[in-house]
Amino acid sequence: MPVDDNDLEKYLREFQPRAVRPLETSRPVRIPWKGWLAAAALVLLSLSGEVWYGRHKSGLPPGGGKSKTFKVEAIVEQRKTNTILLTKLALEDPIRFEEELEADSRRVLPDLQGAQSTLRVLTKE
Amino acid sequence: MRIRLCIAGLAMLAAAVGVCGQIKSPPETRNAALRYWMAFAEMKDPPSDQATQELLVRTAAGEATWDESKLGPILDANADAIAMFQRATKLPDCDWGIEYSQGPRASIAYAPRARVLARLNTIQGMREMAKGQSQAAVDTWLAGIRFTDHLAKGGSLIFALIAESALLPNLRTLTLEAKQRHLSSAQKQQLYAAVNAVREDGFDWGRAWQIEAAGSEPFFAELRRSPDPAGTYAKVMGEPAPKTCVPPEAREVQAFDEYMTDVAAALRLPPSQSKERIAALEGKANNICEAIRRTIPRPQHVNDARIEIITAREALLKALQTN
Repeated sequence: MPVDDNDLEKYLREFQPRAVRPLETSRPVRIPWKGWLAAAALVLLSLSGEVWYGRHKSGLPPGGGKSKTFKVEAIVEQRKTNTILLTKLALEDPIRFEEELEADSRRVLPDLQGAQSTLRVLTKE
Repeated sequence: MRIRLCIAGLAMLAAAVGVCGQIKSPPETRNAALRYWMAFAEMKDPPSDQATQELLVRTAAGEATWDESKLGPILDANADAIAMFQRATKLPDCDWGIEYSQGPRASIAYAPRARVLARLNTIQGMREMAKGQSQAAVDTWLAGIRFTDHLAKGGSLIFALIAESALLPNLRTLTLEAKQRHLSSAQKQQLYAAVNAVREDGFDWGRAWQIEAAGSEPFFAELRRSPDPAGTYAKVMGEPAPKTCVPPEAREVQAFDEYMTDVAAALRLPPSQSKERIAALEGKANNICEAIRRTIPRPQHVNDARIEIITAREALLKALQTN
């Protein structure tokens, strides 16, 4: 390494300016089915989430859930058994009959004070 | 004279005050169903563990002895509901107001709670008996028997069947208590009179069958009105509609009516005769088109339910007569 100024200048003159090359970057490899894969993953994720939520919700005591998510449609769509089928079950399949009654009992006289109750607001003036 | 006037004045004043002081209380309802609904609304469902739930089931079935520490709190939480339920059983009428015009879609929302409260009442009797309060237990079980009459009254088959499931535990528990000599002579007499007054087969099954038939008619009418009869049929019956008879024609409904009327009459006969008569009507049932026939409950099973009550009632009456 030169220490004298003249030597240093001579040394620096050895360097020649060159035009800047365009920056080379590696081009991403296109996977034709990537979009479909992402869509499928999204659908799978949402379906499994829905199944988990459904199971989680059915395991909770009525109105005792901590989740703030609430679907009025879920209540409206709750199935109602009819007297023809219930009578036949009572006579022919007592175990299923008891299951149906148990399911029915969950939707009768709901607890308006539950954490997920919508109607409780109407108990106030 | 003055003294007489004073006395007369005071008497008039007292009478006036007396009249003013009499506030008439409003008349109480005669309809027990309204009180039962209040009792259902007062029911509490305290959380418990799996073991306690299983114990409750076994106790209700008479398979486990009373456990005050585990089951007592459940009955304590429902004390108001049970007391209201028992008072309601003493009312003279019971009209549940079922909308039969809605056919099979008529709400029977009270049925599950009615069954639960009836069972809680039976268990309450067991608790009283375990505490040595035999008269209270007898009164509780008699209230349970009266309730089953109210439950079945004016109802279709489903109510008679639910009433049957509530009546049998009371009859069987009382039979057991009588056999174990836990009842006094006076209590046995009281029970004998009450149980002897109950119909031999518990309820008017013929009437329940007729109401069942009447309740199906709006469904057939709905099928005729529906732009998509097969869809409507599948929605109610939970299975695809048969290829024919949806919607049913008038003559097909007529065949149903005739068969149902005959079965209703058969269910008013003694059970052994009912069985034969129902078997004889089999051919008539087969002439009804499949779509309608699928809606018909099995009459022999209904007759079996009658026989169960007759057997349990007879066993109790016999146990009450034995020293």
